[in-house]
Amino acid sequence: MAPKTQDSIRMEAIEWHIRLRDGGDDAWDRFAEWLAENPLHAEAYDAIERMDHAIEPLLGDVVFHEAANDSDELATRPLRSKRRWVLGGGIMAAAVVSAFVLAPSMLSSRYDVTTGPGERRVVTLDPATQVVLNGSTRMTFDRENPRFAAMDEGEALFRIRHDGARPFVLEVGDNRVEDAGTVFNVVRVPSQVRVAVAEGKVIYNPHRDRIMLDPGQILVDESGADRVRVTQVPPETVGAWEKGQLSYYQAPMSQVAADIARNLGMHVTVPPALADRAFSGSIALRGKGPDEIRRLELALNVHLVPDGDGWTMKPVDGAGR
Amino acid sequence: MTDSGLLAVFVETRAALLRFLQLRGASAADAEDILQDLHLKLVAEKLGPVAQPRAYLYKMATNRLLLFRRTADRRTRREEDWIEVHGGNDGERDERPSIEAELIAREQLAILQRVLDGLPERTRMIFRRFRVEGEAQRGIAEDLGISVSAVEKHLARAYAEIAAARLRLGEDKAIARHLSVERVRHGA
Repeated sequence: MAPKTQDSIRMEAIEWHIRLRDGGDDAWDRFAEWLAENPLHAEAYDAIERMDHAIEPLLGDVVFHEAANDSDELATRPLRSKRRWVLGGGIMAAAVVSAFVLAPSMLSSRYDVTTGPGERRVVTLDPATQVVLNGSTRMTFDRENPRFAAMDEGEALFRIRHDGARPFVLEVGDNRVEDAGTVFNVVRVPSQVRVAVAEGKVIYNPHRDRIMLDPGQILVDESGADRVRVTQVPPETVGAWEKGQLSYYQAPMSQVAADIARNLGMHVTVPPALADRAFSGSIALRGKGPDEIRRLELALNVHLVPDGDGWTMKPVDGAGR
Repeated sequence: MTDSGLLAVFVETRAALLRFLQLRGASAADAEDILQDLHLKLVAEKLGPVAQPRAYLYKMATNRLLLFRRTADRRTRREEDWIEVHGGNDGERDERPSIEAELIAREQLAILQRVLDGLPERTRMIFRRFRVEGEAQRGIAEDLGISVSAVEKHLARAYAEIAAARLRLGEDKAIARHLSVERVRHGA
């Protein structure tokens, strides 16, 4: 067997291995044909699969050197030392060095960053200012102004460097969130804007409502309502989604479902009968495998029934199962 | 509720899956066992329709095959170890694997780190996003404004270099293992 042939088989095996991870029906059918072509194919594929499996436990400890890396390390270190939220291990640390995705808009220095369902992205605006985008989120930043961000949709956790002379401004539709060095979380869905503060101080709509928010406060601004609501939350739960933790006190099930959908990247339909049911408690999101779904069902006391592109919530006592 | 979706596809695809498992090296009997097991799981789980049902079933079959192999491997290795270390002292036999495993892991990590450091930055970033963060190729391609096949080329290069490094590592590992076995024998 010529070494060249062996090499090219190995390259084909690698290509299949990469393609199959998110491959559809066609890819798998064609893969089966490729295996059938030559018994060496299966052997080569086995070797690649074993290799990929073997590096799994190592990847968490590998350091990915990237251009954004240096500044990101600066960003996390001072925060880490004195704050209770600590970035998780390997995967999260890798996500912190995550790249910015620039969708250049033609006329300005502004750029959009979006995340797909279940995806996370960290945008570092300056060495001590970081925005963690949850899934299904669309935001705009400004290359020339690191003290600006706008949220079109979704959820993000903000860790903002203190600069009394130059407050950080977040635009959420026609609302403004202004802050001077803090940690806060913002959610924007069509029906409402929610701003929760973990540390520091945030001013909501400084030129209109001028509402000061302290740590442990959450503001809910329903579209159409003429006043906003401010209630208490345990500050440590603010932005805990970053660690896969969602905590609620008397929250409508529709909100819980939307949060799960955003975090896990799965579509969750809530029937009207359940939408307003209040939920209190904590849930940990660790994935969407069958065991995890079962755990969620137990935690929320609902059934999650697979439908076309996700899951539908059903009452446990309902006959609809 | 109609949970027959995946099960129906399974029935249709069964022959293809059986062939697939055998192409991947399973014996006919093992392939049958694996599919039997998969069938039971599908019945028990009551999974509804999924987007790419054949892909889903191929994946499940593959996972089961790998599990099956690992179990078989472990059995063989235990027998080998027993023969190799037999006559050695029991206490040392218990300690050896953990120390050795740790040394190997550290060495593997260093090799992997070196390989990744040697990749072009863009290739490394794409590999990280795909393999560590689990992003889909299409998403990465869209973000970077390049084609999916360009992303695949970056990934293929990363995998190829890791694979090449791992070959040498495999030999190192074999040597290390023999040495430590020797040591135990002399010490006994």
